[in-house]
Amino acid sequence: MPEKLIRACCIAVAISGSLSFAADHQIVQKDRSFSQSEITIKPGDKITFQNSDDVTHNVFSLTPGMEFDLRRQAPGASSTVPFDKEGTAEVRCSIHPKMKVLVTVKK
Amino acid sequence: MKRLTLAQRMYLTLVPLACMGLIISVITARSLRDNATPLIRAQKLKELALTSLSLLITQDDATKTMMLDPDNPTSNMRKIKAYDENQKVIQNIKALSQSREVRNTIDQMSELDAKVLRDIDTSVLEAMGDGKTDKARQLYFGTYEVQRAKYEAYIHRLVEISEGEAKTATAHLKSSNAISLRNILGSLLAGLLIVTACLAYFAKAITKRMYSVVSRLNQEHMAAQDSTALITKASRSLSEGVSSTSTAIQQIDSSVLTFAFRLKKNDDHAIAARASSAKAVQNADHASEAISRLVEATREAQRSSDEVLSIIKVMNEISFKTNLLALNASIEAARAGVAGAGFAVVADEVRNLARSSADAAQQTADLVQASVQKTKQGHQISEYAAQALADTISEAHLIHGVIDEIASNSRLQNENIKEITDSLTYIGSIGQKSAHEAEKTHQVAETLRNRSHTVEEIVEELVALVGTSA
Repeated sequence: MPEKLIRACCIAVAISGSLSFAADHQIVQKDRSFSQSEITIKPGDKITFQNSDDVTHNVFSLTPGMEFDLRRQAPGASSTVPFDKEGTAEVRCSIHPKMKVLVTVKK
Repeated sequence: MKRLTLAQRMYLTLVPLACMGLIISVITARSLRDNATPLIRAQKLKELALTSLSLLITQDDATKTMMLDPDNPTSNMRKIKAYDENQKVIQNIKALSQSREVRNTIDQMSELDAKVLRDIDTSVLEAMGDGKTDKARQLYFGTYEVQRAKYEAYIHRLVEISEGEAKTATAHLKSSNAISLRNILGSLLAGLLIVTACLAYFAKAITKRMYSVVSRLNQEHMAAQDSTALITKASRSLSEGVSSTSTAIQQIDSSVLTFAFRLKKNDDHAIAARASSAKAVQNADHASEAISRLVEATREAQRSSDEVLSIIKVMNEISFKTNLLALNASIEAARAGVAGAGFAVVADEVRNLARSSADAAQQTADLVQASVQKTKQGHQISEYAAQALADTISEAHLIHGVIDEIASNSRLQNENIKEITDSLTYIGSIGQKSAHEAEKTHQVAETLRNRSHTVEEIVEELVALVGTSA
């Protein structure tokens, strides 16, 4: 029985070493701007947009193939967006035109 | 030093002129472009200012739409795009402008947008985002539009500045263009005069040479026409000659066939004559042998006659001695008297017999002598005949050899005649080909004559083009 458990653990470790899991990234909205102006992730990764501001935001992207709209995001709220396709999405806030972040998805 | 051709002289003259014209054109174009640059810049400035105004109106329109429908993402994006475009336009105006007044206005616009207008706009949008539509409307129509009017006034100011610059640039362009036009016209006129002079010179030179060439061409054409006529005549004569030759060859062929037939008969005769002469030679050889034997026989007969003569001589001696004995006997008988009378008679008789024997021997000797004489003559005749026959045989051998050679030559002649007949057949086929070629030559000569007429027309056209004298 202990031998089987050890063998299963070894197999699990080997599989986890050979596979790559999807990563979760975070972009914070603070003082009417994004925490970074650009970010590069891999296909399948997710980005959580965290509104740490004291005003409402409306994060969205109309880049073809990578469209999303988080609608009105109240202070303290957060939303997660998956990025499966490769490309570069321009993410903006409809309330604050100066806010812009470029999300590049590539392998 | 090698003389330059006309084309080389043209190139050496016109290429520098063309280069000079090209340089003048480039300088003129650059000058015209430089003249127009201030006006273009002013027009561009006005266009960008109006674009900025249009984008400002688009942003306002999008904001109003968002106030009516806050969840419409298209309006959001339209406003964002208009905002981004306007920022680019403002940057372009700043980069384009060389006027301090424009730059000051742009700086004032940017300051108003960054410090006032954008904050109010953000507040309006945030109020809408928070669902406070009334507050948003109050901010927009109460505060934002006042500041927006100032912003719009700056844009109008930019338009006015651009129009003023355009007016100044237009006046400058007119005066500059007038100067440029004068320079262009002067250059064109000078170039036109130089090119016209060059062209006139080269046209005169070309015409002079063309006239010389056309004159020579005309002379050569006349000579070619004469040659063509001669070729036509010669080809006709050739055709007729070939036809006559063909007829003659046919006649020769017929004659040769007849000659061959006769030669064949001669050959047959020669073969027969060779056989006959061979037989004659053989017969002559036989006759020669017979004559030889005849000569030998006459020689033997002569020898026998000589022996007979010797015997007759002996007989004569015997008769003489017998007669002498009879005479002695008669004398002795006479001396004996009567007793010897009978003996005397016998002695007389013996003497008579001796006389008769001597006569007979003499007659025989005469006959033998005559026979010997005839035998000698016969021997001489036979020797002469043998010599004549030997000559005849020699001649017959010679004739046989000649006839044999004639027969051989006749056979060779037959073979030669066959070769001649084959050659005549070949010549006949060549004659037919030659007749065909002569006919083609005649047709070519006719074509050449027609072409010559065409060349004559071309020469007349060239003469009309270059005139009768340079």
